[in-house]
Amino acid sequence: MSSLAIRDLTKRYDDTAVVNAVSLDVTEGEFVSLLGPSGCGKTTILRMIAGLLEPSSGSILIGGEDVTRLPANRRNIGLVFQSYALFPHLTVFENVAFGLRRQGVKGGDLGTRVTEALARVRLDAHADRFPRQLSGGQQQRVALARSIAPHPSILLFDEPLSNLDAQLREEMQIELKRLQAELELTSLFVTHDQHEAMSLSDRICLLAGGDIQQVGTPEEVYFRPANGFVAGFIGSPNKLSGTMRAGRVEIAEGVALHAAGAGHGEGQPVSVTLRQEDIVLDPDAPDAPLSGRIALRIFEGGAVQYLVKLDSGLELLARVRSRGPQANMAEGTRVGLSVAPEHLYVAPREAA
Amino acid sequence: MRAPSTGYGLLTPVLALLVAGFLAPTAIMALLSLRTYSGMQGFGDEWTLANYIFVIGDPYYLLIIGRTLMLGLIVTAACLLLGFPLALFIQRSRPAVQTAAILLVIFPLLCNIVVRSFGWMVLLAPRGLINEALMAAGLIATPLDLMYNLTGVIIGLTQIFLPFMVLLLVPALQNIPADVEAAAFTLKSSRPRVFLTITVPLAIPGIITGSILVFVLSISALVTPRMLGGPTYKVMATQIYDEFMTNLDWPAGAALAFVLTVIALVLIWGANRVAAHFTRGFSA
Repeated sequence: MSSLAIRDLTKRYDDTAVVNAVSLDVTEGEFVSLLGPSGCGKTTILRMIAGLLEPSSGSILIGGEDVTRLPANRRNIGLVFQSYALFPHLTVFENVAFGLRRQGVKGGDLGTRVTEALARVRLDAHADRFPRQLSGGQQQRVALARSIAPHPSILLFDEPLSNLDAQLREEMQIELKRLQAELELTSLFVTHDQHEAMSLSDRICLLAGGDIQQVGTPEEVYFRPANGFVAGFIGSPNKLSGTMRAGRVEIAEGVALHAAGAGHGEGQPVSVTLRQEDIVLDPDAPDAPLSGRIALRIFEGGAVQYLVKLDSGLELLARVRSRGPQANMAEGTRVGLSVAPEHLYVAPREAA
Repeated sequence: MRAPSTGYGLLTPVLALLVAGFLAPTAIMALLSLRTYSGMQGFGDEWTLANYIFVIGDPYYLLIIGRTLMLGLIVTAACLLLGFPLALFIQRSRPAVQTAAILLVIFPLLCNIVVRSFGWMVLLAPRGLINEALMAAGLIATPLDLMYNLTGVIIGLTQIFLPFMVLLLVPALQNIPADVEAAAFTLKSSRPRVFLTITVPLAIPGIITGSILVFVLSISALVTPRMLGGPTYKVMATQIYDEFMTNLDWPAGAALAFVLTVIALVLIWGANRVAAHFTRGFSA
């Protein structure tokens, strides 16, 4: 396993930069996610690292060696695709053996290496099948075995779980994480799914519009978003707009909230991000400065979501644990709302 | 619930057409091929296998059969070699270029085959454009034999049947799942190796159907071999035509026609078996 570094990596089509001077380091054995909405450039970055796309400028280093001008077949990387991209005309065994044969692995050694890789994904009993005889989850596990079998320096994932249904996706997440930790694989994982990125990653690199917004551990990205975009993308936020009034954020006529570190000038228009799970509901304080009525209760299993209509007419979504004390408030109940100042993310409003 | 057989009624018109226009004439031909030859009536009253024994035993006919198969093989190989890069180009182009290229491929089909064969005669004749140009350039002293032989027929048929090959190869290449070639590329395979181990095997359904079509069309082509092969350089189709129309030996012509048909059917069956083996992983 090797480290991965990209330096000022840029990709332009005509004059539009889809990836704009992105620099990122992934240390040996680390699992980093490239997270962002579609069109943020995350897949473009991955394909440039794989050698399937040529960067407009910048460099890519694997294990300290500059591979920017090397073709994909000489980069020693593993790539797992969203579409699995198994070779349909070859058996599972031959799929996994494909990269190994190119390395000159032969005979009994080849059989051992293939079986070992297939055993890691618990598919060693299926070596003689053709890909189409396997389920989607099994096919993706074969693709995973195929990419790790030749012992790549780094492993790249291009939304590998997106084609799987929800339950299978969670199982695969756990399997992937276990395998990655066991083999200490340096991994770069592209996804648009924040939950996937959080549960798998050592660090998350959040992208938007071809620029890095924040790089940090899942906790950092979640609890200390670097800007309004990150705060709005991570978690399940209420997005409001407000104005700074006397050091507080006014989100509606007469409704103002304390925000920590909101060093914005008086009268400055701001966007406010307020996570659903950070709103505290209190049915015993119906006359709190911030109060409203429960307009809708949505039971989600592990959580209960309330749509709270404030007296000013503004609607906020709040989420509480379904086994907690606030789980059974009926629609129409008056509640007081409070938000800790440090849970309010305020950013100057950008001209949209 | 309606009986599941109701839908078969829909086949009636096409079945009627096939019985009247194909099966009945074929049956009459089959009977004809088993009759004796009579100089006065074209065919006699007695049953015999002599026509088949004659056709597959006579060195002259064997030469023509061998020549026809050779012609079919060479034209098929030439169409494949010329068509595959063209099909790859079309598959990898932008949609606008794709449409334009496909139109250009189809365009020659709009032109009558006699006109196209005649065009080749103008080019390939002993005093045709190509020979005149080469002699004027001082590259050759005497005209090359480009016509009234195998060369002329191969050139003509390859040009005429190339569109069919390309039109069958393009969808086969488009059917190759996205990212599969990229996956092979990341698994330490060079571009040529990806082409040979991934692209070509996955294009086999198109290669086989294109080859069968071009081969069958080539061995049964009549007009182009007649025009570019001349009256003396014969292939099976022109020989069958002559048996019927010039020699008036209908039984021999019919027998030769059935030999041609059997050869074609056996080759189609064999090619399908080969294709089924190579595509057993991904073809239904």
